[in-house]
Amino acid sequence: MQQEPFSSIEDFIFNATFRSWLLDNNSVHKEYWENWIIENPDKVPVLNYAKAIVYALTVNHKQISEAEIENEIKLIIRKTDAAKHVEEKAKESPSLKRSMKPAYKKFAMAASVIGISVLSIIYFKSKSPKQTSQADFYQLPSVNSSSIIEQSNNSDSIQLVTLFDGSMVQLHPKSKLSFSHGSFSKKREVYLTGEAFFDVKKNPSVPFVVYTKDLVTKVLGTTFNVEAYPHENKASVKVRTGRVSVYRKENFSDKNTVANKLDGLIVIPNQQVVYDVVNHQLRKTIIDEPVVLAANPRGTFVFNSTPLKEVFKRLQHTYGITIIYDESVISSCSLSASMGDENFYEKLELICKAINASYESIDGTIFISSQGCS
Amino acid sequence: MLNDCKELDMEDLWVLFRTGNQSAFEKIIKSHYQILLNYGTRICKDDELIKDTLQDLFFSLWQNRLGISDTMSVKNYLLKSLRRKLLREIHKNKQTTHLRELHFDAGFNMVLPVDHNVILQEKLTELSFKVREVLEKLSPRQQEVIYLRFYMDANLDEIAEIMELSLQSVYNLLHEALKRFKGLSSPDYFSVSFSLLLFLAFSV
Repeated sequence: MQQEPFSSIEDFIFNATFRSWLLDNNSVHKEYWENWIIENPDKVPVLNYAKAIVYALTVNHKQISEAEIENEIKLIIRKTDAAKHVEEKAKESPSLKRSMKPAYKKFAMAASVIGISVLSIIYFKSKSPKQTSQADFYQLPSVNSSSIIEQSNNSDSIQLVTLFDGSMVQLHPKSKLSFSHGSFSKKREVYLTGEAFFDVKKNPSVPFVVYTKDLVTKVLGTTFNVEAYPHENKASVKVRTGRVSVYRKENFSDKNTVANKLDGLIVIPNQQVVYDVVNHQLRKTIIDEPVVLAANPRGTFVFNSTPLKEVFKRLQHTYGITIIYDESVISSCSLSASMGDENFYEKLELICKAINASYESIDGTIFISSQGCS
Repeated sequence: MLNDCKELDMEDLWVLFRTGNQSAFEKIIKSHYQILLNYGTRICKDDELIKDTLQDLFFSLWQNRLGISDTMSVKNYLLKSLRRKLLREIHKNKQTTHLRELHFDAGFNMVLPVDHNVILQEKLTELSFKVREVLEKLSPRQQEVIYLRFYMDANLDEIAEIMELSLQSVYNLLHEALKRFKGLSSPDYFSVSFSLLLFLAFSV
């Protein structure tokens, strides 16, 4: 360091120790530069110029922790591993190699691909609406049959599938996902049998659609779980983040999604749609164990003569669940209570007990009936 | 496996990575992640989008490793790819054409000098404010040139490569920026001409 001339502003401002001395209070270079000034009085004006410029050019750089970087690296490696898997599978199966090779160069993203038989291609080609009900395997509408990818999870653990748009799917055991890569950039459509959790990449211009035997779930970019096992008498869609629209399949048409809006249900986090296969009924409810949604929950659940309105507001903010009550009736009520780890329903019950009220859950919303407090 | 060869420099890592060495790949990501994030946050305010884009970037880097040349600086190559990918993402989400203009906010955040010499502190503050005022009036592209010069230690050739501009355009951007600085009068306290020194700082 000693031999550096430091004659121009540039020499200073591009010197890491110089910048560190100015901007970091605990810099180890403090002593060096303080001595340097004493030894080089003639260069102090230039140094001061450099100082002013470094101060003026300071920017905010958010530091990311080592652990966060490691985590990001893990995600990237997981993705490349998944792609490797596809390459290996493609090598193992010669029939697959022929159909997949040009495609995986471009899109090698699916976690693993189980062989596509000629039979299933024929199946896809012969599309008739009646067929969907007799098989466990659902057909993709308007699909280029040469490029169907079918992913089955026959293992005991959840399998991660990355789709061509970067969306991630956690495919549960005994579940099957199929999609076409030919048209994925124009239409993001997948068919599911069984259960999967979707983490969909946001793309407002291309909605992402999950078809199951009875339901159609349409999203723009969000995370949610779809459950539709072939021999169960109900199917469900649970939302983790964002919002999704769920339609009964017979009411969903690709051309005319707007007109059918009335028939669909919008589901938000902590809500689910349950389809009763026997009665063909679509019902919206709150999930059994609502999770805390607020990024930073406002305050704790410790109340000291707090007006009930405030209590409900906090509950609503924390879980994102709408609570409806008659404001004039409960205006006389207040609550003193301290709650901790209780879940949503336990908290709700405690509150209702304290003010002698009751609640009902209808359509994913909580309705409070109260006689008021005296 | 690479643990005992810490001396490996970036070029060697790059060669190893291209032969499919995963730990070299991880080291490349690790040593560039922070600066890529820094640069990304100047172009777009959505941290999640930047992280997603970085994931994509490294993923496709791995996929295409066989077709990547070894001639360029790894850092500049990554900065350029990130810039290109982020702009594409941003354009995808904005349909209107007038928003296609590059958004770059260097986020200059002046630190006020502290000096035990009160007069010097005052002069430094005055000068820093003046520099800052000029910086704020610079166009996004001009800010980007200055940012790359200062925070990525890129010379003009490298800036041209990262921003995918001709060297002449980078010169022009810088020249325009420097003209604005020339209008600044330097405080008497300093015996050197302000604009001259600043020019030195930028000429590479």
